[in-house]
Amino acid sequence: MAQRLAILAAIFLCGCPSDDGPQIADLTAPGPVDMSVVQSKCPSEVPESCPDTVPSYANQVAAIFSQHCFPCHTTGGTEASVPLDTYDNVFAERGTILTQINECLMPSDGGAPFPDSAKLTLLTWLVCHAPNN
Amino acid sequence: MRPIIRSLVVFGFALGACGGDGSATYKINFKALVAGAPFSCSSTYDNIGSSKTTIQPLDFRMYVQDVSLVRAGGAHVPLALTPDPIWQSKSVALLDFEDGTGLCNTASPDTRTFVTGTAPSQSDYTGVQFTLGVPPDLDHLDVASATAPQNVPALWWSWLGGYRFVRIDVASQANESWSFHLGAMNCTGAVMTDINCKYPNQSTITLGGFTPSSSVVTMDLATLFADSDLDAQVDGMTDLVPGCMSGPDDPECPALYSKVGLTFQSNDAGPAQTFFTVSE
Repeated sequence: MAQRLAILAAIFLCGCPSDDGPQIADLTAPGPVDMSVVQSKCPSEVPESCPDTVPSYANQVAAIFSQHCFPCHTTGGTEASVPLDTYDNVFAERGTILTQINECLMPSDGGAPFPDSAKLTLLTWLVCHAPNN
Repeated sequence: MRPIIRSLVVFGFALGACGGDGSATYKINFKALVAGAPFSCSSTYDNIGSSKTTIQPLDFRMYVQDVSLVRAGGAHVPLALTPDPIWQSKSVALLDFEDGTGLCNTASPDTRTFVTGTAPSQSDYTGVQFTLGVPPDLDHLDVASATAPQNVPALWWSWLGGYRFVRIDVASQANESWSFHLGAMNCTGAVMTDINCKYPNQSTITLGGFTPSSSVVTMDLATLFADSDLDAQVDGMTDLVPGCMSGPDDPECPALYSKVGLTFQSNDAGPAQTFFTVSE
């Protein structure tokens, strides 16, 4: 029981958002814990290549940042020192953004979790040189 | 194992698994050579350039930015640079191959031959890409107040002129100092306002066959200088300085710019760069 509580606590602190529902049901069942279930909470989704059609910053990417990141990463937000409200600001942070989104570390508290489609859009845009398109 | 300890171990393991495949710290190593021999401020090198002169290093430092690892499928995964008090900000990394010995009278004994940062852990990184210099929006800071690594006066021309992206100085048989200083050109504007440069001279280097754990980005000064006469004397009229300091119409610049993939006094794509290669 103590081990299961520890895992639950870790998952809570991790905060990996997912729209496919919690995958911790097995932790309430008797028997050994399947750690692969925990790991699959946030699989890496970094595209292997840049597709012919690159997501548009103006039409797609900016809206995702606005919806999911602005509560914190804008003037007056708790992360105002790392604003993500302009292309230049986003471009300057693109390495950190990619890593944190890929690891489901962002959005953290305050931002609506990414739908899988939004996460893939952002990661695809980032591995295509994050163009101002 | 006591239950509480076992629980803590499980807790740590579960927390560590949060990142899915996770990220990793990557170290991009660089190596400077002269005609295949290790770059050293205390060494001399023969048969360099078109005049087959002998050179001794005076300086070799450069900035890089926009570093990414390239997956086998072609995706460019940006490296989040790890800031530190001397060598890296989140946007720019300084590489320093001179150690202040020999003729390198730089008062800069420390060297730095790698760029480090984090990126998603992938097993199929087969290339690396980076851009020489600092980004245009960081090219016109005041070196006296700028934070590291853009606080090195020797790598700064002026507020308007910006930074020396690459600084290589050598002594040749006929010149006490022969230079290649790469930077933005034809910059206009006023201090503390927007400054624009007609020729940003941002050279992006892409190298394949690169394995992060074992490969090294290698630069050979003999290749850089292959088409340059390091013994040529300036005439004080059409050529004001020995070497290329990225001044207007500087006659030594075209040959050097072409080696890093640029066209001098043009924003047209240059020839394929030859200065940077990959070695194991």
